[in-house]
Amino acid sequence: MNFATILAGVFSIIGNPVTLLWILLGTFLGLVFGALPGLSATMGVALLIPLTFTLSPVVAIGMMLGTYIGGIAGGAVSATLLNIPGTPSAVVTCLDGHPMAMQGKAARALGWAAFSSGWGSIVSWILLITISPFLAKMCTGFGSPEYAALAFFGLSIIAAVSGDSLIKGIIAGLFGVSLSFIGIDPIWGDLRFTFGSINLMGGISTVAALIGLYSIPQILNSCLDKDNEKITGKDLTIKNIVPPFKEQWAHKLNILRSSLIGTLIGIIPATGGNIAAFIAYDQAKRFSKDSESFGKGNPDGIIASEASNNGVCGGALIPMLTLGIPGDSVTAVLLGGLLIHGIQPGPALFANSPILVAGIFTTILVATIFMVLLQVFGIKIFVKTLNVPVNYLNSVLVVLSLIGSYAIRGSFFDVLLTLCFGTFGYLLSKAKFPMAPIVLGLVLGCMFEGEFRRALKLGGGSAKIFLTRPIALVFILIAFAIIISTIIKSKKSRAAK
Amino acid sequence: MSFIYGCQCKLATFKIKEIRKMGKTEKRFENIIFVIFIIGFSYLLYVARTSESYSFDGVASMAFPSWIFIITIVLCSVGLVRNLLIKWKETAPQEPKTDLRIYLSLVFIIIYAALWNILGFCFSTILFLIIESKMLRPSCDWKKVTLIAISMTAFLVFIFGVLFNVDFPEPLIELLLG
Repeated sequence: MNFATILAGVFSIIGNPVTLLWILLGTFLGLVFGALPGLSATMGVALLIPLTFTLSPVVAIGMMLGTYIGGIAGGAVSATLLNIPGTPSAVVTCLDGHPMAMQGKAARALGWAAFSSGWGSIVSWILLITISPFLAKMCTGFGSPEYAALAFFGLSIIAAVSGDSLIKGIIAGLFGVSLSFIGIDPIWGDLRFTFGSINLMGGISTVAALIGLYSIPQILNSCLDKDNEKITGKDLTIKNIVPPFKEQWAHKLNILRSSLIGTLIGIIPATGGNIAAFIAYDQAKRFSKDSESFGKGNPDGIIASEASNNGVCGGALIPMLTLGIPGDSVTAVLLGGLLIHGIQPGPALFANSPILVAGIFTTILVATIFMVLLQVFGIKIFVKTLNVPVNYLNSVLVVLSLIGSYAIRGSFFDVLLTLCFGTFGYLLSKAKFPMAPIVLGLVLGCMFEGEFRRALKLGGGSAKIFLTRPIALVFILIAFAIIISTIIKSKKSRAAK
Repeated sequence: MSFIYGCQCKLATFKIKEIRKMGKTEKRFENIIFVIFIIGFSYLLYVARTSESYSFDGVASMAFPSWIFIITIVLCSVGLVRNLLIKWKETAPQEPKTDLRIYLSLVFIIIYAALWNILGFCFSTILFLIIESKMLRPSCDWKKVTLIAISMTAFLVFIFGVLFNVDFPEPLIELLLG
């Protein structure tokens, strides 16, 4: 691409106020979808595709990308204010966002979420426009041993998100892994634990499980709260919302590390923002001098989660645009949207439509700026929704949660699943079992089992294959280091108590 | 005999030495969860062991789940035994009994979902919003609650049903409109 082509692509976006307005609308709708419990970014992009039919391809892509970026960032709003993650990737934001909000720092927590999301998007955008073909080649070369090792690495993080009790976290993680067994066996294709139900053949819907485990228990636990007693709008000035540049600079390493983790995880196909957020959170906790305050309202926890899950946006677009392979569930839907508009992503796209590619790159940056601005100026409105009387708020949240679980597949069975998970989740919350390991186990369990068994087959039944693959070996060694250090830390803290 | 005596002595020492902090409610619910997991996973292990497990070469389809179930059962059993043996120091303040309204809310949510396929989404949502809001705040005005319920349902139907084409079940409306 020469300079004139890039300029033409950039001006096709920023020189057209109508396109900018559509991107703004898409980002706004994405934020709303992300912020509402039960409605995810994937659902937002999928539902918006029919609305883009009449638009030109560039405008349509702009709107969809805006929805994607806004949707991922919006998940932090309900995670922070209600302790209900708006999207699966915001599960980790709950860990520190909500405690911070409970300390009366809701606006600042949302400010950190907005800016971290923005930085995450920008770092992944820089990588997207500079070294995307190289990164795509490296990460799409992953085979079963690498995937299995990555999933094992992901599962080793259970300890970091277990809260006070390691054993409860491990049991919760194993419960999540067990849920992932339901459905068709990834290798032989026989049915496992479906008990004759057609609905269980496709496995447990992550969204239904997430809504059930997070929304319903939280709604039940908060339904007797008094109105306005949790969070007030006292600190809603821009000065209090926007973290000062000095403070942001002080967290530069965490922002950069989390954004890079997000981008790299995003590039690997079939992963997603939730895995990136878990890994980034674990790393932030390990590198922090104040690791004890994680889970109690440490801004570093919010930064790690939000910078990484928005870093995934740019990362996931790298294999999608360069090779036509979606990096996560949202880009899979986005890919469908692009094909509908006659755009075939892949190496030919860069050669045949350089202006369009430059336009897409510009759109991502514009949508990121819109996302941060909308979040900063929308925080006042977001926080004020908590002043809605609890009886109305909780009732509406129940309805939205059930709509969310129904709309993703149009299946009433998912609503029933949500209710089952909700009831069991309430019992788990009473016993103070952490929910995050269940989600982690559900997301990674199937991937680990399938890829591990495939890797064993590749290695002729021997686990030695993992020792012959450098990337897989690095992941496994890091995972073991994490497990050992967690056990030592846990023993030390128990002894100190 | 001496082995059993030794074990008893060890358990007694363990009982005195380990003093952990935990509320009564948390401990009760934790034990309930452990028992549910032990029974549930034992049944799943039975299913895994008795069903046909495919394996031409490599790991059989039920092998991996069986390992995970066994580990979970062992961990839950350890947790349960530990809860029964350890002397717990109850530092948490006496928790009040769970309010009946929480259980009622859960029942209403289940009934509400069940009504989707009988009354349809619109009517069941209006009913749920009215009953749930009124139950949580009995002092609320009926008129205000009804008005909010109807307008909120209309808004949700417009956004999701009309704008985003989500096909909600509406058996009653379909019956009435033919």
